Amino acid sequence: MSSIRYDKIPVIIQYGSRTEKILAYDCTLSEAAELQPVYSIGKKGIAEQTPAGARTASISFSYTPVLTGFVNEKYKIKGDFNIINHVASGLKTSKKAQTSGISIRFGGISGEGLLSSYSFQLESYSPVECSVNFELFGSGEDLPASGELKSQTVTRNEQSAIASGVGHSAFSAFMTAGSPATITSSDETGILQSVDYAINFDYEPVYKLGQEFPSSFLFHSASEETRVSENLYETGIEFTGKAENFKLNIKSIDNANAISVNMDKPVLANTQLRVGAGGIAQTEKTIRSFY
Amino acid sequence: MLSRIRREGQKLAVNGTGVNALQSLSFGYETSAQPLSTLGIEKMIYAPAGPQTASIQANSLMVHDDFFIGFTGELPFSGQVDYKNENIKFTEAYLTSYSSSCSIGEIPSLGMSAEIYGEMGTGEYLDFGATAPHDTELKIAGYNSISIDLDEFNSNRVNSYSLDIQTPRTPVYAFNDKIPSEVVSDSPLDVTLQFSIEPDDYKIKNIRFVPEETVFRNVNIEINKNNSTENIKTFSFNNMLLVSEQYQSDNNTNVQINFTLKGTILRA
Repeated sequence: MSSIRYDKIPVIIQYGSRTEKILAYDCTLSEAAELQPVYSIGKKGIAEQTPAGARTASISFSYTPVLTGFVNEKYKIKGDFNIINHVASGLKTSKKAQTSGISIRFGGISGEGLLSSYSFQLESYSPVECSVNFELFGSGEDLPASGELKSQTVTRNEQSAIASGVGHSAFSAFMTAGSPATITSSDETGILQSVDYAINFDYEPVYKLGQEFPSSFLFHSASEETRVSENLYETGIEFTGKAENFKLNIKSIDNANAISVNMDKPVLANTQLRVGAGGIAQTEKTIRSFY
Repeated sequence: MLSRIRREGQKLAVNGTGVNALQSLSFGYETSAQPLSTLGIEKMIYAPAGPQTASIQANSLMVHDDFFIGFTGELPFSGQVDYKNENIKFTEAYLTSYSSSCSIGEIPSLGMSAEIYGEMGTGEYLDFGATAPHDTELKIAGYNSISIDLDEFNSNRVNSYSLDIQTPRTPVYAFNDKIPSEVVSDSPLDVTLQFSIEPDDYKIKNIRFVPEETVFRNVNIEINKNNSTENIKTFSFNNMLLVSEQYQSDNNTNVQINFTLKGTILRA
């Protein structure tokens, strides 16, 4: 049989000495070769399609983060086990050139990638669901992705369990006095109902003549955005912004380690108030930070 | 030998007061835990995928006073169910539907359904103390003591009525909380009133009656104590819209027409 079922294709990431098996709901690997047609006067049609840039590959997946575990397996040091969040938090303020990334293994295919986008959605009383995209880079003449799609051996455990380590909004405290995302009217504080967070990273690949793939990547900037839904509305958006730090703390079901996201002095970019017949008024705010 | 629990071994109390003439009772919950089915799955793990709620449904005969109609408003109720030596308590229950019906040969009945957003189960999170019965004297209504005020019924025999009031709620959950921060009582309340009559001169309306000849009716249902004029309950609705009529007959029965009126109640 050539078809491979989802449970035979684990997604595993590795960063330094840390390895994390992702609770991934889906995973997509994309590869592209940038080609351009070569025309020639006196020739009908094209001479050929020729490379105009390096071959690229990207891998994206959505998952629920597991927050408990050992940061350092050898010394049993617990901490922010979530590799992707850990990398995203550090990268946005980093000024270093990126010469190594996160190793990703996906059903026998592996590659090393740089985090290009990371987002998560939080609805009230639901598990956190993250989405992530990595740009895979080769090195010198090594291809961005190697290996082949193969069914993997997965150790089965018949014991069901509560996913005590997954991030869950029912156990997470948010913000936020003083945050621009907090709405407080004269006598009431808004009830936060959903949070959509996203961060995107921009890199500049550094190429050398004679090599197809970049030797390193220079991190240039990151843009971070959070959209929150509440049930109160505060009129009078400030043109110059209202910049105070914004912090999200996501806890696991067993109330253990949290994903922490700190937006550095985000500015309120837009607000929206919406109500439909039969419903209750909902408000939405977008705050942005740039690095 | 295993014993059993019969009707005399159970009791429902709401806000500390017992509910009389209870005919049926059901309550329960369904876990919101859902399996996380992931790539390369090793073992099945479960996580709450939504708020944990419970529900309760009860039916009773109409006696003396209507116990549940008062909860169609915005206030929740708490309660407990005693059975044998066990005690189940529930809190933050919001009525989601209320019904009343009666047919020839029946005692008028009441029904209610409520969603429980607080706690439900055993435990010492609530103490009502001793519960008292709601009514010490049962005044049971009868089908022969119902008076319905609607034009068509002067010359057409009413076989049954059925009233249903939907009182939907919208719970608003905040993060880091397992119970809603608030429960919004939606508006309007939908009222559906169905009658079944054996007609004499009843005329079925033309299906083109909307909007030119829209039929609105004021309806008044008075329910008295059995064989008495002592009023137990009165339902009054104005401007109910006639929404359906159904003619039914077969070889062995009289012609029957079922018609439905719909109305709304806007919350204050």
